[in-house]
Amino acid sequence: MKPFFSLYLKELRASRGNFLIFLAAIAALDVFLMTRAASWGYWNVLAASFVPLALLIFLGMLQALLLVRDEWKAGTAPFLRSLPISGWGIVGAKMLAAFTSWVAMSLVTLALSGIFHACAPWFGMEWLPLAELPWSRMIGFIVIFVLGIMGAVLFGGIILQSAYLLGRIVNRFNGLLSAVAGVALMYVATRGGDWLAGVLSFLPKIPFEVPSFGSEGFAIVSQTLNSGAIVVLVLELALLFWAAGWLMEKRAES
Amino acid sequence: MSVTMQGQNQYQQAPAAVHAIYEQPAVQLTGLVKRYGLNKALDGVDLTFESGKVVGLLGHNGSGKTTMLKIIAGLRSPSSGTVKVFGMAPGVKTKQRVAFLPEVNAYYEWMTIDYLIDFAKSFHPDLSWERAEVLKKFMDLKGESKVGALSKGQQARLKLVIGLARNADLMLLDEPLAGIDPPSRARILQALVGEFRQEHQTLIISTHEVKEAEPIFDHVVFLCEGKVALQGDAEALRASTGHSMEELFGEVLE
Repeated sequence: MKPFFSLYLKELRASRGNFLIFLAAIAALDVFLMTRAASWGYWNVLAASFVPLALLIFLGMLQALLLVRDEWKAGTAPFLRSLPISGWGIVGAKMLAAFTSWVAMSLVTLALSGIFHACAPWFGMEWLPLAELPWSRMIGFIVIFVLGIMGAVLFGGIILQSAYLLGRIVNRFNGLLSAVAGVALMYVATRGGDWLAGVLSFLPKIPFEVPSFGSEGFAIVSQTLNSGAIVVLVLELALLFWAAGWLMEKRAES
Repeated sequence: MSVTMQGQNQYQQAPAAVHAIYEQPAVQLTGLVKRYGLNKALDGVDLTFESGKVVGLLGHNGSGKTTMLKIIAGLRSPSSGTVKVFGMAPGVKTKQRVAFLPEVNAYYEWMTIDYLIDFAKSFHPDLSWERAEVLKKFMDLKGESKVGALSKGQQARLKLVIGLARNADLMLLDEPLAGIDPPSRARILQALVGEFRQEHQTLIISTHEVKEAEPIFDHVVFLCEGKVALQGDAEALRASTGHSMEELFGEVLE
């Protein structure tokens, strides 16, 4: 495991620059939002402070791609691939580093939004009655929501990595091939996933409750999740990871 | 300069292991073909490199030298034919025994030299810090210098530090003298085959600097347009043709 963690730590250090840039951008955005609270309204700027979380999902995927692409762009791929670690080890370490980076960035964004919330009385607002929310009924929703976003980041990241590595099997037009492969993989994975989830619809449904904010206040709505969709996501992630590792191990040229 | 070679001692204590290494060819290429689109970089190459020899891979630009080294290192896959490195197809196991030093700088620019050595050591337990320290001194490099801040010549020396600090059974050196100033070349070549080389090591060196490197070769291979134009024991070729390698380079390849 030592080579894997050594590579993982190297990737974390390599992505440190992007992380600090993002951190600075979030901090700058929040400072800007603070100055807008009087004119835009407190609740609007608080909501805006959460917007980067949505962008972060794409940034997490992009980071997974960049960690692979930069090896070729910076000319370090021959050294990396001459090391005695399998293609799956390389892809796994990069994916894990991108994921760690994404989790850290999300936590920072949440913490800054939390500071906003803590500052509510400064702007003449009352704190949200968070303690009054039925947390015990919302746990299922929170778990599914968080796992869903995590799955989306991993899914998008591994598709982008696979598409890039597919482009590296040729020496010319590799950018074009990567772009086409990215679209094709996304299409096949989503359509195939929908079909397979339908086939697996006989699997038990997972009940959970979703919070809903309407004109009449806060409400809880019952929902179900097809557990087949979870099976499909795990299967697709495993298949894409295997493909990306195989391409890195056997087919990518450097 | 006297160097304590940790790896050599290890082999002295294990003569059976040394015997096993010498018994097996370091590299066997059979009908090796590598295509890039319509071009053939290697065209049906059959070669066997015995263990413990210093092999000169000579040829003009585009003759297939780098491609051959990269295939042996496991960085590229052949279009057809077979490659055996110590009897195994290139992969993680062979990479543990092979040190590949590419022509261009392939190291991470943000790393310091010491961090890079430490990083390499986590993958190659045969890398000795003691040897690396001696080599750094010999190559006039400072551990705290960043790779990105090194000159081309210093980067070429750094490659040799990383490669020679290991006790690899096979070293693949792609144009190791490129970027090194002419007065230092003889000293570095001497270091390559003299004080810093371990007896069991096989060196395959691709170079244009035939005149300077000629004295160190046990065996030479002249490559021309992806084919072996001439190969043989360096001494025997000199005796039978009455020409130096540099003269043969002109005659065979022009």
